[in-house]
Amino acid sequence: MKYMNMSTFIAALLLLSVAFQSSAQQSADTDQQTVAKQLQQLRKEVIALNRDLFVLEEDLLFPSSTQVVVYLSVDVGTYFKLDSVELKIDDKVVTEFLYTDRQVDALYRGGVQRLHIGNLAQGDHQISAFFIGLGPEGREYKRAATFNFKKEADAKALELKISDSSVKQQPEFTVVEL
Amino acid sequence: MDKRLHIVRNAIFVTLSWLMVNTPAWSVQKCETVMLDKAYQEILYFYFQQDFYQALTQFEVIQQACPNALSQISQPGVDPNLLKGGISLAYGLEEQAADIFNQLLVQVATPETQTQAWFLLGKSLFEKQQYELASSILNKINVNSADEHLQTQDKDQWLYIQSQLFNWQNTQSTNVARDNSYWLTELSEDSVYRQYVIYNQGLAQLQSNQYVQAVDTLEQLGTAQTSILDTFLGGWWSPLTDVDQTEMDALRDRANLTIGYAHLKNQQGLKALNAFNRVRLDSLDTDSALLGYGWAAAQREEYQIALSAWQKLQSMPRSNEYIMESYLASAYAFEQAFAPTQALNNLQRGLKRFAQEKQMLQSHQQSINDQFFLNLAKNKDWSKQIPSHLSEVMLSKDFRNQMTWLEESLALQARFDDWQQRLLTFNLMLDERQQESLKRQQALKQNDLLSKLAEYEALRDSLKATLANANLQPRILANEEELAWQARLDRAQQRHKDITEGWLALNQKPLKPRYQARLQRLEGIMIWNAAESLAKRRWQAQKLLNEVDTLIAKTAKQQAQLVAQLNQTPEYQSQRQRIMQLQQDLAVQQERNQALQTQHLANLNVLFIEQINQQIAQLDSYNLQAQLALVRLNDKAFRKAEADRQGATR
Repeated sequence: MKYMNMSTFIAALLLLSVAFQSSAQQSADTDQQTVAKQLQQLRKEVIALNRDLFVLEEDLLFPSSTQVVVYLSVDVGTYFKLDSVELKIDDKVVTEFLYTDRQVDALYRGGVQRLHIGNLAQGDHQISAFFIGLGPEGREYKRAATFNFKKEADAKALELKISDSSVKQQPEFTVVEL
Repeated sequence: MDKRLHIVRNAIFVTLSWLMVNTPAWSVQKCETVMLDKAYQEILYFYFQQDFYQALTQFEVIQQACPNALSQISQPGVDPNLLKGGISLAYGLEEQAADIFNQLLVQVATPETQTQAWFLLGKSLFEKQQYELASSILNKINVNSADEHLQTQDKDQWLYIQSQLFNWQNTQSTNVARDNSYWLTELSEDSVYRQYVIYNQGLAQLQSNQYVQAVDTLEQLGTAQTSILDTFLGGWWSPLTDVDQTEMDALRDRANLTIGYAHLKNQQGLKALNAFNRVRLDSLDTDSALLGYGWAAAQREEYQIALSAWQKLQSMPRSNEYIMESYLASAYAFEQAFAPTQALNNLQRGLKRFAQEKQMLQSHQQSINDQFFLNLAKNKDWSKQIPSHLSEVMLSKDFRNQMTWLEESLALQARFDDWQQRLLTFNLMLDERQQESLKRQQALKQNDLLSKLAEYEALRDSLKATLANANLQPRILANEEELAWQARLDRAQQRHKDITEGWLALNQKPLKPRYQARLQRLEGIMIWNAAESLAKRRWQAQKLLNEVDTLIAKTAKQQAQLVAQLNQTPEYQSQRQRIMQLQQDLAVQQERNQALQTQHLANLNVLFIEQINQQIAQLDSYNLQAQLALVRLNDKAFRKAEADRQGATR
């Protein structure tokens, strides 16, 4: 009888310890979930804050009356592998950009890069872009595109386009006004 | 009159243009479809580079500027809402992602969008371990729609999750693992998920005591060979191939390890040896495999081989349960090989090592504090620099999770610091602009351009009065040629008059009247011409005058605005308000982050101490086992010596 009592006691103790362990585990899991939720909320807030800062920065540094944005896009990219771009506005270098493989891939897949944002006075201007990379048959290739435009009171957006000409079997470089 | 009107109009136009340049002109171009498309493509640029943070920020920017932006985007391809949901999911905003997917599924979406939304929502639930819900969501996709609307990689992932859920359901309902071959036939040939599905299937079979089937399943992975080209070139042509190969190799090691222990459990020493032998010596499973290899050899009574494996394990510059266990195992092998002295020596060495490890763990337990974790998290490759005897603790999943969170929190802190600095710079910039504006204001006030409008108005009024008299004096509206003719006629008449008078004074015969008549006829023609074009010219002049009036009114308005602005000190109130608001928000988030960081650190400390305690308890257990073995061996030696002595006495 004494043995039975002792064994019942040990079993109860074991059960208690298992139950305690399980509740401790549950509490740790809940803690982790709470932290994860808080972190998620913080991430969301940080993105909203980054947005506000981005907009403020743009409003302060590049007001629309003087803003000029230059985008770069690549269509297909069979005849040209982009390495770098140099951008001049009114004969003054404003941006030089060297591309990583990942960036080039993002462009090939349909992404568009905001290559330059700056300020320009109203009036007539000229933009020149120099594209360096590998052309057809892997040869070194350097081409330029020039475009004259008039900056007015609204923000100006231009796009440098690299596309493939299947007729010429050559890449084509153009600048268009958006 | 006409010429003067043109001059006045041009002058006013110049003034107006100048005024317009100096007045801020805000445009609402951002919501035009072409600009929205560009913004969306910019998001894609970030997304394809896996810069989810920037991509989500850009989504927020366009949605703030144009609330319906995502429905206005005309770019072909994935639904922008779906993309935002997917990016949110990848960035760790599961709730936001789930909300987006649910919204998409409520709306009338295309079958493609619906399938993708089901998939991403199911994946999000699966990652949150809500298996039942995940299963019901993912079951809404069938193989045909997955084929049609999901990319190969997504389809493979869908199949993998389905197979995992299938296994999970099996463990919930029956104890018999069902065949997973359905998922394997649907998975693409080169998918990495194929290996996982096979491994999980093997594991499920082992758990259901289907030893033979489990080994057969796992052998598909364990005996898979890396191609000779891969062995030599190591996938140098593509970083992706390299990653895949590393993952495959790790999976193969894990499969062989599992096969080895399964054989060991079923007394198949030789087969176990072969399986352990296939585990690479530089993998995550090397230590476990070496220990198992020793046990497999010991099972076959090949104690020399077992001992060499365990001794190799003991020489590893690491500290883990396998290495600790190898001391006890070596002692066992020596004893079995009838070498009790070496067994005793090995146990003594083991005891020394356990004590050493325990001491180091205890000293770390006391010395490790928040700063230690902070310094560790600041180091990108922290996992490579942890002390060897802490590797077991610090490479655990929980610990790594907490460290990842701490790293994120520190990165946020750095970002907040940077933003604070930028906001201060913006404030300084506004101060500078204010100074500049004041200077310009002074300069403008001294500029006489503003007084010119009054002159133009006076001129306009006089021209108006002149035009009113045009009926009486049609010449007012004459053009330049006519004025020249008129001047010539006036000169001719004057000359005629002078000649006639001179002639008379000299008592000469008067000039013939035909000269006078000719001049009169010419004058008559000119008057007739002027009368003919009077109506037309008056209408034109009136039109010009009206234009001048409009321009003057517009200029007056702009000028009034400018003057009002000039009289106001430029405070940049709205901008300063925005900066202040952002600074406040930033402070709140900084505080939150700090609180979270403190929590992470507390968790890390607790986790660290808990795990160290577990390690110490494990070491104590090894210690106890070694001491018991020591007593038993000593006792055995004593009894043997006693028996020998008694034998000798007899």
